[in-house]
Amino acid sequence: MKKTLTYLITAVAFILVSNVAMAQGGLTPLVGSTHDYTVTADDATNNTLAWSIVEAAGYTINSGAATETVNITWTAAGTYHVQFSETDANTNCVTTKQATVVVSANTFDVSTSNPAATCNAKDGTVNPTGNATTSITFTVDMTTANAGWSPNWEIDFTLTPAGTATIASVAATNGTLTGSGPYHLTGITSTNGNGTVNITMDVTGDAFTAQSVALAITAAKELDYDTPDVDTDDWNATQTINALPNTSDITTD
Amino acid sequence: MKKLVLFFAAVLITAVSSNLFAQSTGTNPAPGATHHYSITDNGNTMAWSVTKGDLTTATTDATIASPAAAATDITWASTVTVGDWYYVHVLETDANGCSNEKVLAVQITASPFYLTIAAANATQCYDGAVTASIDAGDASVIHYDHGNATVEFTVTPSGLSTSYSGYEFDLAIAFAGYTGLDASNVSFSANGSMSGTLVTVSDNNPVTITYVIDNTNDFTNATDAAGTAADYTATATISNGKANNGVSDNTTGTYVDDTNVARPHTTGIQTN
Repeated sequence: MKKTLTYLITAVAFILVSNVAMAQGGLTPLVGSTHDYTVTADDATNNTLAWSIVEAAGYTINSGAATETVNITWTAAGTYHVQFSETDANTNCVTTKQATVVVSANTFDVSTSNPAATCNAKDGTVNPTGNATTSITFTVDMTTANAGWSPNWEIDFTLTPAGTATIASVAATNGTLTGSGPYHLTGITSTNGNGTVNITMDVTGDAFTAQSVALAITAAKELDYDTPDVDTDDWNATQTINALPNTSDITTD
Repeated sequence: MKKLVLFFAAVLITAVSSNLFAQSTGTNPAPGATHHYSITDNGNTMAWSVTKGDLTTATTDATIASPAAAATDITWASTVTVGDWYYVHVLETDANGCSNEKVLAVQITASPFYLTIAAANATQCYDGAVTASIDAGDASVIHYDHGNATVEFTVTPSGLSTSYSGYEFDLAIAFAGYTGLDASNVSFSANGSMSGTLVTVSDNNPVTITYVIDNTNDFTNATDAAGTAADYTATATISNGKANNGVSDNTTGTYVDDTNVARPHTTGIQTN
């Protein structure tokens, strides 16, 4: 049998499934992001496929190391060489492809801060008594530090009123809000690398007792590559609702 | 025959006018009245204001003595209309800038205050016997000096506010043209005093006014043959009554009374 040397040309399409701005795509991901890297093998069924990374650490290969698509989470900044090899089942002939991935520090940051204290909603009324319902707003901001990358993003958060106050009518000005405590807000948009959302609610409590609500973000990530928040030191805010003075009735002679 | 049954309903209508025992109060002040308004002092910033007819219309009908204190006097103008509603506001603002507002509804009431003067006696004798003396130059002429008559009046207030003490009025005495009387000796019960024509009473009780009137005229058998020359009528008149908190007399009282001072009308001694 004439052995035919077949030069296998593995048509490789090194397609990156990161379909948005190339700035943060699979070749220049951020620390913490997860990307798919895929090829079209010559014979995915019979040949042996293998993904590997030259560098020893700084990443987690999540799945697909022996398939056409590998899923990798980058955990440390640096330059990495991603390799794919296809070995012909019959001839043991190997084709190798390589891509250089430069992982940079995470710049995705979600933050919030204490809104200014406000007076109870019965401020400015005559002879206020009993409970009052005050509307308050928390603002949550996001930045990618990259005007060319404006992913959608999401957060998980809790709202905790202090004392005997109760919260109702929680709403968000951006994204889709679900849950009734804890809350999940996803699909928040961004423009020019920045995004913002106002979370509003009604707080009901005695007009003459100070009220407060604590917002605590418990998770935040952008939705292109699942990059998590670079830090968590700005995930808490407290809105204080000042009490009204408990003015006595006017007495006269 | 149908028996007609007549029903006699004996109805005793007792009309107790609430104004009979009313007084000017902070919620129902009389025109010109001053009353005290206060709230608990929480150490915050206070601002008092008064509106007329509703909660927003400004007015100059009320003068607030201490608009930034927890307690203040408010004086209602003497020109306010009985029945009009006013609203006393106080706005308390704390260090955080949060505020509370209380409002007291006030309706002007007619002044319930009036004074009544009454003479102690309608008719009064002189304090003592007439003093007779022989003329220094003519032994046939007898001089009669009638001396003092003590005439007393009492002024009684009605409808004063129990939270305030004192009232005042102008006092005058007249003798219908009778001359020669010295009425400068006037004294009062312990709660009264006079300066010029103004009598000031320090409490809400009646005040007694005592005139010791000296008849300085000199009569003889010739000038007082009928024994009537020493008679006169002392008429006391009070006016401009005002309570200590500014409430004016509502003119439903009695402001004039008199005492007739006289002796028995003894004629001169007749002889044959």
